[in-house]
Amino acid sequence: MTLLAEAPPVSKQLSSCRPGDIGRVTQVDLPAPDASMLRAMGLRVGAMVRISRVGEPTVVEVISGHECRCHCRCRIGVARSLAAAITLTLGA
Amino acid sequence: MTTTDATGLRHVVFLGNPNTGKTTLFNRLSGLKAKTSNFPGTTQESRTAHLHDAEGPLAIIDLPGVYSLELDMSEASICREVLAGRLAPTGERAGDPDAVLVVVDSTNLARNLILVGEVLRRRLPTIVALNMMDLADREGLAIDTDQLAERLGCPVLPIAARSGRGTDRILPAARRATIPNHTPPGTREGLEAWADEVYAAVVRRVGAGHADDHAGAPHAAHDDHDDRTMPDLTDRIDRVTMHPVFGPVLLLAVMAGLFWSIFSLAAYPMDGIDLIFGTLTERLGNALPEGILSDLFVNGIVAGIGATVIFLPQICLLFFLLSLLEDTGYLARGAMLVDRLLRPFGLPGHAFVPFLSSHACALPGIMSARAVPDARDRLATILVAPFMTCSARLPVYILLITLLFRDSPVRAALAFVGCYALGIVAALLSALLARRTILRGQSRPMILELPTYKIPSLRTALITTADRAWTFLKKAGTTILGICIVLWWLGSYPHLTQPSQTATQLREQAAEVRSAADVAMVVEGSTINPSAMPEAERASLAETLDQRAERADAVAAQTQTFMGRLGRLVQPIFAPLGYDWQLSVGVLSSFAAREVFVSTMAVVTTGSDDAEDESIISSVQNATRDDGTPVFTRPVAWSLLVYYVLAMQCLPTLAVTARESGRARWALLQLAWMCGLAYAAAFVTYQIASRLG
Repeated sequence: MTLLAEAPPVSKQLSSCRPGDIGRVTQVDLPAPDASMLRAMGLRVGAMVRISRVGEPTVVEVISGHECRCHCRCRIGVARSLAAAITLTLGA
Repeated sequence: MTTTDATGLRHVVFLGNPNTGKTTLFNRLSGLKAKTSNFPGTTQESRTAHLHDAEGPLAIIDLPGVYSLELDMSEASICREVLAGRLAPTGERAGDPDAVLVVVDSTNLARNLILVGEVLRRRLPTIVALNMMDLADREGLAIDTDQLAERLGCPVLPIAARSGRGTDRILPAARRATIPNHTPPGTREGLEAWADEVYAAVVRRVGAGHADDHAGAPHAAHDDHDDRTMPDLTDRIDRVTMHPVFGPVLLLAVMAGLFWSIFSLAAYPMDGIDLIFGTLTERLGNALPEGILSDLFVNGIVAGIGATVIFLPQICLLFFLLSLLEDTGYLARGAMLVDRLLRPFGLPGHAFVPFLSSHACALPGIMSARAVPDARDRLATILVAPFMTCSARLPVYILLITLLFRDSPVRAALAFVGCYALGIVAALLSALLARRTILRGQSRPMILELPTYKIPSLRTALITTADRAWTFLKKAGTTILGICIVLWWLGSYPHLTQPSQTATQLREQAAEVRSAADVAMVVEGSTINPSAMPEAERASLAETLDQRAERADAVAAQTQTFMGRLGRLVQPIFAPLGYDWQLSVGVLSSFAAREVFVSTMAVVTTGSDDAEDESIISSVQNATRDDGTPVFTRPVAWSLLVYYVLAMQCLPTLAVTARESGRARWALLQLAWMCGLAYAAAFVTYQIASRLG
């Protein structure tokens, strides 16, 4: 009998994720005004997000803050160039 | 020090993230009592309502929506200043607010708590309105409001602003607000951790499809799949509205519907307003003794007010429909779609609404550019928005396109579309040029919250429309009225004191024709003798001669006014475009408002300003120059059409540009660029059209 090994966490740019993917934000490599804006909107390092749409624009749904895994209803649309500067860890 | 004054007036400021229903709550509490005003020295708007109940007077102030007080944005800066007691909307006294009402979205509490924490740290009397509780219930989120109030150290009121549930408790609670007994951490990281902790402690997931489950614990639905989840309703709708192909098609259809509504439905009230002002002008003209005062009232003030008010139905319809669209959540998707098209030209997707509004009138379009967050993006949007074809250009287009394609409706329709397209292309290319020169830099990539789709609130749309209509009438109406009076004076004075020589001769001829005089006279190159003519023919000829006399007087009067003299003076400048002095007067006078061109041409070429009359339009089209050649040749009509698509011919728009950009030099640049481009393009058009015949 073969045991299915649990898939290891994978780091990906937000722009290269697929719709429906869920991951935790691990890095936001953007200039201060954009990074601050995204952080204030809840898209910050540690946040759990679900990808709703990829491309131009990329749409993510922030489904949690740092620690909790709640059901917040916050969709954020970001230009593809910004999405490329945000790194997620899928399966984390 | 608080702002409470000797009358006991207490000031309550409304603060919250965008899309939390803050303005819906404000509208519900204030009704139509709210007034819109700017913060001094800024272009940021605020709405204030003065209410009065058994406990005394209360002023509620709706601040701009902000995600954080610490952001480097004008909205956040204004909120910081108001909370610090250093700033108040125009007409209000600055000072510490007596209460801060933080409106939060119950379905997005984790993020909203961070703003609550930033307010609590300021140690001001605070209450929290937990809005959209009906949606939270539907989502299966149970929020322990007592626990939340305890952790925040201030009252928490669960409400649903849309339905009004719980909103009657807001103002009494605001009157009794006290300084919270809890201060969250000061660092950003500390505040975020605090918000997460509070959230986890007060929210539980309950209801259909969910085990009674603490929000802080990992949820099974998220843990037992392959890190991919099923889309919800909003996602499913977004798949259509934001589809790379269907999305833009749908957006075009929605915009086409919007324009159809604006131009077709608004036509009825516009006709009504036209009729009312026409009747008023006639009655005032009959009632007032002839003279300068009568002339000022009838042709200056009433005509000026009429020229402004006639566009009110379009403005109202535009803002009503935009408010409904915004409330559904679709407008944010539209902005994201348009961002892709605008960004290569250095414009942000936020420019979508200003451009859309500018197709009705550039004034509200420029005013709505306040929603563009980046200062350079905002300025670029303001500078090019007037290129969009506003409704004031339409009468000019109708006149010129009818002349060009009288017998071909299809070509006429294509020409109309071409005018709209030329305006849009000119705006985009001008923006691109501006972003590579005077406003160097790329537009800021778009970041926008996409709210969940909702049924729009009719009440909010109606209140927003009433508010915008009043703002338009106050701000634009006064400017337009003032300019109309000045232009009336320039176009009316000095008065013609005596009939012109030509008119006198024509009237003498008419009298001789009527009396069947036995004399030979030359009319239109033919020699006639009235005594030898049948009576019916004489009557008809006499009437024609009287009409010509009237026109000759009108032309003489127009020629000798300051505007007429100016027209002859500047005619050499317009000569390369093919315009004679009459067209030069038309172009100059339409700086008041573009549509004035048609009525001015009617006065100059026919002696009547009733441009609605089909025969008058025909007469305008058949008008001749001093040398007898037609005024409107095809090359001239093409040249004029291109000129009117591109030229900045609206002084009220310049006034609004100067105010919104903060500097008059931007308005002057806009004037110089648009008129320069229009002149060059009209010149090229005239030369090419002349050569092609």
